[in-house]
Amino acid sequence: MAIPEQYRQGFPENYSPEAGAETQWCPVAIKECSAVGISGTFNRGGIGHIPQQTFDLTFSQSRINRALQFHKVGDVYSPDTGLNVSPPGYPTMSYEWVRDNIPEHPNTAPTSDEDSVALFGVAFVKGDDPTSRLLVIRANRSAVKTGMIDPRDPTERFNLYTITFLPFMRIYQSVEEDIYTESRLSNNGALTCDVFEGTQVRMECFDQRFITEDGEITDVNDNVVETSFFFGLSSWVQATLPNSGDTGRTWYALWCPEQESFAEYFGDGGPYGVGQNIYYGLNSVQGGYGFDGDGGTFDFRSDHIGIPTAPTMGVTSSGFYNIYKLTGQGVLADFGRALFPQLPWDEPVENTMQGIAKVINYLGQVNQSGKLLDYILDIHIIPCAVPYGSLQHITVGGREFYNEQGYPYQANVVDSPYVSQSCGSLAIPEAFGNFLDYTVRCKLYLPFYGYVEIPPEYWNGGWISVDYMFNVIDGSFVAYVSGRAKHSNMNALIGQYSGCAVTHIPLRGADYSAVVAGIITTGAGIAGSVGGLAVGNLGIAGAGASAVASGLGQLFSAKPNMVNNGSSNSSSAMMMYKTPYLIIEYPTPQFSDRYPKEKGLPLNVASSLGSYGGMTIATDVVLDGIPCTEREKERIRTALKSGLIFK
Amino acid sequence: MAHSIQLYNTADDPRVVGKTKSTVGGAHAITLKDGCSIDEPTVSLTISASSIANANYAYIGDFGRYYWIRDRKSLVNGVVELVLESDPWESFASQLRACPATISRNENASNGYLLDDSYQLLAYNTVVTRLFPQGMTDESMILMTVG
Repeated sequence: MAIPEQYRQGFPENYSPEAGAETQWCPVAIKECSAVGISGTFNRGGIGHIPQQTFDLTFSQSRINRALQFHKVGDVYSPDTGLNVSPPGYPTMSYEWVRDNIPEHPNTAPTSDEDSVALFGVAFVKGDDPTSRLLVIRANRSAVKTGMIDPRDPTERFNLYTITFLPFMRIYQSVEEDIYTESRLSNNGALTCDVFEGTQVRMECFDQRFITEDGEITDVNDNVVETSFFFGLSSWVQATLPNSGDTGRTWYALWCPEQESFAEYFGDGGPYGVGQNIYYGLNSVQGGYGFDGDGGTFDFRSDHIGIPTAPTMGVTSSGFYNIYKLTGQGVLADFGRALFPQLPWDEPVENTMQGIAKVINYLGQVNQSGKLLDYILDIHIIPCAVPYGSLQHITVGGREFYNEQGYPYQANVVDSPYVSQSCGSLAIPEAFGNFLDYTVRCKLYLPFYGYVEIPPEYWNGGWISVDYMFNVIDGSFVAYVSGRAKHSNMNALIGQYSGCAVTHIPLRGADYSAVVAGIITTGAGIAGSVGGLAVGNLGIAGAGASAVASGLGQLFSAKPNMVNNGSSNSSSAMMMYKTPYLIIEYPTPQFSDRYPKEKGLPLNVASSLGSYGGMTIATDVVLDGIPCTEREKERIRTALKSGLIFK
Repeated sequence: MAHSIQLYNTADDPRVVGKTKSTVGGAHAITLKDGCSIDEPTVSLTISASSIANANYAYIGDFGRYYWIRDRKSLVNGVVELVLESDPWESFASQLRACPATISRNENASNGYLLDDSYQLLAYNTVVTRLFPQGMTDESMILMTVG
């Protein structure tokens, strides 16, 4: 496999990995650094968030591993195919994909927390040694929790790490400063040792030691030597740990939301530094310049905001109300007959007084039944399954009711006034892998609520999930929309939408009138959708094109909006579609093959003009060191603005 | 002072740095026209016009520059006058390649997430719908009483 161009700088010109060389892991970046870099402090902040200064590795070309392959985070490497393969429709894999699909893989089936997640690992590759594989640092939870470790959740604080390493390595765990206890190897090369967050780890490789904290590389006698290896850093999920000689394993690289590849972590020079500093620089993150000359210091990591738990207190906890879940056809009809007594006209009476007494008794029962209706608060239908407990007698105003056979009317008691309903999540990979992905419009339809617009920064390249919580008592609900996107450093609740989805069953005429009045007057107007994108080559918001001002631009801007909602109330909401869905409007690009050659592609890189070759456009160039006339310099500047072609 | 010129033919786009050039004859002595500048000189040389008919490019070593031949005039006595304009990016190619700059666009490297207002789009959008895995498929009838 050829080395991708952006990683090639520094390799010998004729270097390429040997075809068929054994690879069983997915490095995502190779970097020339100065020391082994897994220092003692692990910051949790999101998948793969590793402070740049932590990793400082060295390498030597004498140790080039010809089996290296270069992968982006999100690739799946399969030893069967030897290719980078991503599942169809998922060019960037999310944790959800890994979680949902790993059980189907013959080699994998994470069944416990311990096996579920490797936060990151360092892969040591030693020439053609088939046993030189992998150092995996896994995360174990600091608290007792069940379920798979969710690497998206920054509340998953880990203070216990398990390191698995290879037979040619030893791990030293420091118990005090500069004092290390050695963790030994097992015979099969797969040994684990637990280290705690904050522990300094010293890794010994080929009988030489790499000190983590200060970059010194020493041998077993603590003599500083110059020894170095290729290191790859990756983040992946793997169900079981590797063993020496293990060949039949597929590695899944975890999706890294902040960067496309770990190469972006290592921007500070080095032949493999693709270029955080080249492309963006730390200053780019901090805005480039500021009062102190270094830009701002805001930490762009986000707090995780999850779905709230249901309130702990509700109507059912009062003990004063009875909440029943009715099942079966016609149950209300039977109950109604018991509630409203029938005057037994056909029963004979011996005399008039007896008949009068019977009528008075009946009227008394009718009166009592009317009062009983006051103790029936509501009967309604809500669009969710309600958890319930045991069967109990239906009581109204303290009375129980029995059928003609003498059996009591019973119903299941509702345990909790709140019910959660998950609608799952949708992973939405980027369609274009470029700026066009952030010109799309997305409307999310929420059942019983309507349509909401969600900017692509909240979901593109990531996922959206929808969850509902219903209040059983009155049919009110909140729809929770969570999202995570490829380029947004957040994993959070991005919207909460409340409404009411209930069909009331009126008990009296007054109730019915109120229901009808509600339909007429209490419509919940929901904002319709807004207009579509600018289309054609007519400029995209913020791009600076001027064509929108043209008549043609106005024509497209005047496209009608499609209003998807009218007003609805709680009853009509019940008739709406009951599954959330997305409507996404994508631009339809038309890209000429000659476009890069004729116009170049956006880059914004600080580099030497001849670095990349081909059509090159640069504005405001400072032409130092060119001994030409000022008129020639001006011609060069003008030519660079429209493009020079560097052969 | 005597100067010499080497004539070339190049088919490359004028914007190319590192042009492919084929020589047209050998070096020739030239006479500079009085009052011309180093970047737009007019030179004359004694040569048959037909022998340099396909020359469109030149190099004057004493000036360290490559030139476009913008015009040629045949004068008397086999003298050809060439009007030249310097090609500064070819003349100073090595310095220019090494010059640091912010490259805003490039043919071979790109950052796809930068806005590109030259991009062409069709007039219509593509609308896609995606259904969530689960919906609200259940219903429950609730009875609430007091007492």
